[in-house]
Amino acid sequence: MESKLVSKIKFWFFVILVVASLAINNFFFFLAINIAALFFFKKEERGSITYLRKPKFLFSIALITALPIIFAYGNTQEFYSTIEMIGKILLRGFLLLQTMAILINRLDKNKILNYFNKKFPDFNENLTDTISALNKFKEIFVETRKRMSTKVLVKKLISNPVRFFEKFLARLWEEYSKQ
Amino acid sequence: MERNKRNILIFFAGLWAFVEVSLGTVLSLSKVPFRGMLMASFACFILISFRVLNHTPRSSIYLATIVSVVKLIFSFGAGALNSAIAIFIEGLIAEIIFSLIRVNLFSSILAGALVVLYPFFHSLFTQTVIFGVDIFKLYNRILSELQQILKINNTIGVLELILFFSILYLLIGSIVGASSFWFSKNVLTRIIHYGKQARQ
Repeated sequence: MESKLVSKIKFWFFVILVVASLAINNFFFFLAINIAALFFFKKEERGSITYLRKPKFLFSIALITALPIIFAYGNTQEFYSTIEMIGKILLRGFLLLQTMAILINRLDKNKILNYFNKKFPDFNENLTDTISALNKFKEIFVETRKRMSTKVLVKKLISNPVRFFEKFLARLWEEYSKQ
Repeated sequence: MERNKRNILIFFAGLWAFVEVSLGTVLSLSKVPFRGMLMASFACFILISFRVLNHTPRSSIYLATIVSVVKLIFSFGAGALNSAIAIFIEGLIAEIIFSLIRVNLFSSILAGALVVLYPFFHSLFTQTVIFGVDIFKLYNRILSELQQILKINNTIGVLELILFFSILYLLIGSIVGASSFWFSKNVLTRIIHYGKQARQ
């Protein structure tokens, strides 16, 4: 197991490299840092980014990168510059998404909570009550969905939106006040 | 904090957090277009209604902070952090406006327009940071080629599209702001203060 100091040095070295790569904005530099990031950090440290596994994200990335290549095909000069531009965009994107994954993995939610608890003395109490209110609203929503279908709800919303929201919010407030 | 004001704060924080955690997650996963506008419209309704009922300085930013922390607790990954930052900034925009101008129709329209416009710029900013300015050059190339294929003479660039959508978001935000102010003044106030439906 690596020590905390080594982990910290590794992390800050990586952050400095990312900042330098953004300043240089060079294709080969991005490529080198992306490869280095793969060896620098363990899989679980890079794992919190979920975008790369989403088919819709991959499809939109494929679309915006494939279309310019198709359009530039046949024009040699434009074709190579397009390939370089797309390569740079993708490598920069992957590098920053990796960095975000590492940063988010290191984000300590308790530290955030402690910070706000120090700033606002009643923060924790308000947060706990908000979560219980959220759960109460979830219950009401599930119960309403059991009694009425989505079609009926949408019909009521369209026919008289003001009355719909008035009734809905009145019910939520009534149930919330009971707590 | 006064008991009644605290009750109102928890009610709006719970409602906003519920919509963010349930509908927000569903919309984010389904990649529905204009989902940011939809979520920001709801945030705008909450922020204006809350400030109409509880005009205490810094209360909008406090409400947004609670909701962003709940979002961080209930959702995972980069998406949660992104949404939490967006929620916090929406609260900050409302706080700045309501601190400068007291809550009225004008300030509500202004807050609505800016809160609804914000997610559009948030998305542009995120794209610029992640992919660099080159991404807009790519969009421009795709747009001009498509216009050539479709034989459209008036060429529209990315900047014109950004301007068009900004105006659209501002208009929709203004409408949401005005209707939120009207609804909270005429309907919500009676529900919260008298505990019954306004038209009964």
